[in-house]
Amino acid sequence: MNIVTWISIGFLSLGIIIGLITLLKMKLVVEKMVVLDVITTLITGALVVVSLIFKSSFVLDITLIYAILSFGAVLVVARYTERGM
Amino acid sequence: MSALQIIGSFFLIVGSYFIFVGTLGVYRMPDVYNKLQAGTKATTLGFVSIALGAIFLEPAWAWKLIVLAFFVLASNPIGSHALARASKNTGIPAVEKKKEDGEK
Repeated sequence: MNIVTWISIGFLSLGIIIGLITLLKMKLVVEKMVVLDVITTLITGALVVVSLIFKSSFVLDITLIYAILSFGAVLVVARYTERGM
Repeated sequence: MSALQIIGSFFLIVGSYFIFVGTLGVYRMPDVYNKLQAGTKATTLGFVSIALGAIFLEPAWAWKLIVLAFFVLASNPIGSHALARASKNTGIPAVEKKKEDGEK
């Protein structure tokens, strides 16, 4: 709840806004997936900081599940772009 | 503030700054491959630094954060490698290198 976590949340939310603007500007599927990969890493870091703010250890479990699901999504889209289903 | 809190705050701010710089690099780079380069290295370093700072701030959660950091450290290069191979095999061209002013 101190100033450091709020500075960190400020950097991360500014990054999420820039990432969403970049996601709207991209044309190719692979470029969009690159930007989405960066945005999921940003949200994973932001969830760790949120678990520090609320002092709750359960948010870290949600963070691990979120990281696993985003990793699967990136692999599935890359494989589908390369050779189809 | 104790010494652990100061070290943890330093790592937290450094990590979030590196993730922000990585996102800015994805916004600025001209090509898919340059975007992958900027977006994967800087965000992996930033996330590991954020997890290290959280370990210093809350030492009781160390094992969950270590598992999370190792998972991101293993899964982020695999995903970027798959994306780079897909974009190379579908024939997306790389950008040509431009000559700087004064270079022959």
